[in-house]
Amino acid sequence: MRKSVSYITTIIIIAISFGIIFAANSFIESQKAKQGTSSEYATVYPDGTNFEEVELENEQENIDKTILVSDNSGEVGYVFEALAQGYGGDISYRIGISNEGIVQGFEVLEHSETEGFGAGITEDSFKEGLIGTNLSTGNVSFGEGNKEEGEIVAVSGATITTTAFTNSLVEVVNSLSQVKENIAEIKYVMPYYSKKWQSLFKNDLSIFTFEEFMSEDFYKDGIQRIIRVKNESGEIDSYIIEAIASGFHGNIEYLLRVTPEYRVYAIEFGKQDETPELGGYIEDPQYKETLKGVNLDKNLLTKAIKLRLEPTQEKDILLISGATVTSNGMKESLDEVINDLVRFNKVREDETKYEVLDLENLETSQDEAA
Amino acid sequence: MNLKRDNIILDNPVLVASLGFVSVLTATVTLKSAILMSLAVFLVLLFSSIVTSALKKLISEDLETITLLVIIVAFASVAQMALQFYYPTTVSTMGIGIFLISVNSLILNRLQSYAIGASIGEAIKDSITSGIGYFIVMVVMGTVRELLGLGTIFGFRIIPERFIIPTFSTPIFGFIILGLLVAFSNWNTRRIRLKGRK
Repeated sequence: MRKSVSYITTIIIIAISFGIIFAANSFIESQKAKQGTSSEYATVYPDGTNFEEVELENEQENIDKTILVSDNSGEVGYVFEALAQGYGGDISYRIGISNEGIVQGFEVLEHSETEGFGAGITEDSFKEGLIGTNLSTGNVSFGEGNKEEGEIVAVSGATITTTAFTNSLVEVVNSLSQVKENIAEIKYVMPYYSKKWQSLFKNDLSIFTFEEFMSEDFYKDGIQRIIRVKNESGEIDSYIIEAIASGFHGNIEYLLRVTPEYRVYAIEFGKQDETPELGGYIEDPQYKETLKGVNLDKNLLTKAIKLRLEPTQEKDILLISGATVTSNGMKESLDEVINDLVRFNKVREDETKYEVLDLENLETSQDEAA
Repeated sequence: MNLKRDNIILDNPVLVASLGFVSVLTATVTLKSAILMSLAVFLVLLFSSIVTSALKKLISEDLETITLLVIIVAFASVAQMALQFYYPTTVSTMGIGIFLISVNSLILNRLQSYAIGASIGEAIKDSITSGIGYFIVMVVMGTVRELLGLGTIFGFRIIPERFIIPTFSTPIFGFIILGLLVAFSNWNTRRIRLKGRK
């Protein structure tokens, strides 16, 4: 008798417990429904009243969610949830941008605290420097904080964080520019560095003709520009490939001269800010020498570039001791170049895509830009 | 010796009885999460103590553990849902700790060893003192780890970013700090006990 009573009690307790959980759950659900999603997104878009998740065309990889914001008068802007990839891990953040491209609010959702990384961008001063920034001008950079020109107040001592964040923000603005015409796409155009071309060639440049391969769809993250070089008799001598690798201190811009079989003839660096004694070794003639002969053709036994302390194979490049990030950046960039060259190989016969470059004017236009 | 002092310093549930270590390690990365976590644990302990003590005559020994667990789970789920709803950002830093309120050994231990045999008033008293003991440890851990690991207290920067020691945010340093606290508490309790004997 005693036992059956206790069984019944336990069952009743279980039932009541379920009841409590259910009641609490439905209470919280009703609270959520009352507040709408605004409780979540209103912090980065205070003026919005209605938030609706949408899918944008060609959504970038690092953007998790796009939320269309509207108020009583109609659609007013967007909230993006995106990731920035940095040194210590992913930073996940939320940013509200109006239809005019003005930043309405910013919030870091998650960052890798164990590495102490990204701590700068969680601070209120960073947020204040960001709010009101005009992102529609086709420019985003860190600096004095000229908000009209898309300048964000820089966080001192957090270079890696700010670089990672800028790259991610560029993706956000670019996906926004696809739906809003008034917002200019942020495009980085790599300079020609035509003054450095001479060091890629043994002969004088005047005997060659240079034709740039023009294609909107072709250039993605890897190769920035391909220039076909023809010699005096009109045969294809080589290609100049311009690409960007990510180094320890920002981007490394480099020029490769490759044979029609995609072997590296010579390499030059356009812009790089690596630490002189470490990653800066890439500017050393010895390092450039090790890259000569590297095979960028995909049809080889090993597909990817390998980092080695003593490069021996055709796809080995030197692992610079003390500059792992730089070496890795070069490796990854060259791997991207290989992948892009595979695509290029299919379209390179298309004569209509080439445009002759005037070497003289190229240099002057560059000087003007500088 | 009076009861209040018992659960807080001499019989601190975490430092002396080694209860609830998982939540102490996971939820003390920041002071705010530590405070929220200890409040949640305290409320769950309080309510389940009251219920257990009220039903103590109806629960048989055979079914004691499962019944107590069901009671704890009911309140813990409510606490978990409420925390996730009202403090979504803080909860994300607590990691797994938030889901482990219901299996916090501190709560089950207090119910089994005390509340099931005590009157409602005594059970409330016991859960309050245990809660305070737990709260103190959580706050100390949370302050030290947030200050040294992130350089902030409650989100306000105190130590510049350059001088912080990020490893203090990792569980292993949490364990080391906890070990130091346990050592301190051992020394302290022994001292007090010896004094009492004289």
